Amino acid sequence: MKKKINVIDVFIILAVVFSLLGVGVRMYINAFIENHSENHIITLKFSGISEEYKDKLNVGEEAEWKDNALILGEIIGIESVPHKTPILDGDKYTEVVENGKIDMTVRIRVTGEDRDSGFRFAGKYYMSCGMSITVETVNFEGMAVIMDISHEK
Amino acid sequence: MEKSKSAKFRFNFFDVAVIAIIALIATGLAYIYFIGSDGAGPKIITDEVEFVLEIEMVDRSFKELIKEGDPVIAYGSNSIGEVTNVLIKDYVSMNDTAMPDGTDLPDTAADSEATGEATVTPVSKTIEPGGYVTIVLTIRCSGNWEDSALTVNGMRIREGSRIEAHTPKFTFNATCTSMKVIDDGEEG
Repeated sequence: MKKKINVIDVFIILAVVFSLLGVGVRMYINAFIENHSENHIITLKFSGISEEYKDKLNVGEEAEWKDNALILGEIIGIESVPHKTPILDGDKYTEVVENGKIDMTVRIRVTGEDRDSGFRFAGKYYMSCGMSITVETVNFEGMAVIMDISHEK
Repeated sequence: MEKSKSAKFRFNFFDVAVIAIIALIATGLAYIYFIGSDGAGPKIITDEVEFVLEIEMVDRSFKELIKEGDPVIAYGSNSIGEVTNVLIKDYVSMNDTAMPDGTDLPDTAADSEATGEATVTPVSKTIEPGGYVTIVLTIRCSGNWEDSALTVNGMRIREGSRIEAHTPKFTFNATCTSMKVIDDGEEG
């Protein structure tokens, strides 16, 4: 006697088929991203931050892109210079050093893929110069502007 | 042997599996054909449109990052055209005039009430320090021009629209300052 197929069997079969397809697509995407990803160096600039935070960022720490809760990469370089602010002097502006504030330039090693449309991070987010992002480390959080993206040599 | 009138067509496991696979393949082919790879719907009318984006207060160190031929990608990874011209100029901001102490300031509110006309607070133009520039981009694209608005890859742009976009090397917020149709499209 043949077993009759019923609605529940159909749903189970379709669920299994779609699940397998979804897993397969996901594995393909992950493999594609991994094979096309390269190391890049992103240079971030934190402007006008308090000098007391100068030692809160350290080389070797992991930096997180707070807006998307993604690990950007490892900090490989930090530089700081006094922050300058424009002051109106008669009919022109003059830049003067603002006491107690610094501009900090941080270089981070990031893995991503080069596309015609630009550098893509985590297979999804395009990053390029001029972009503002919130960066967080163990002891520090701040808004930075991406100043440069280059291939790691 | 006489067939039973109430005999029903029965599915077995393999029939269902084959139907499901055929349905998936048909869906995939329909998606590729109708939607395509650029996320746009089927093109019925395409117009060649040129519009100008103005990016204000750009750090001078970024001024070389946008070049002619760069694609412009808006939110959602949708291309809105290609850069055909890049113009760099000093950034000029509008500041209130610094009036010296003791200056008899005009009573603009009273004047306005008396004449019934709007008055304008005096302003002066100042070139911003710190090496800021304004970048003016001319962009050409194919889209749908209707009611003085351009629709390209699901995005509607009018004069005055604020657009967040990026080129391969630069992310920006810009204002659309002008638009014109280069070529009226044909149905295709």
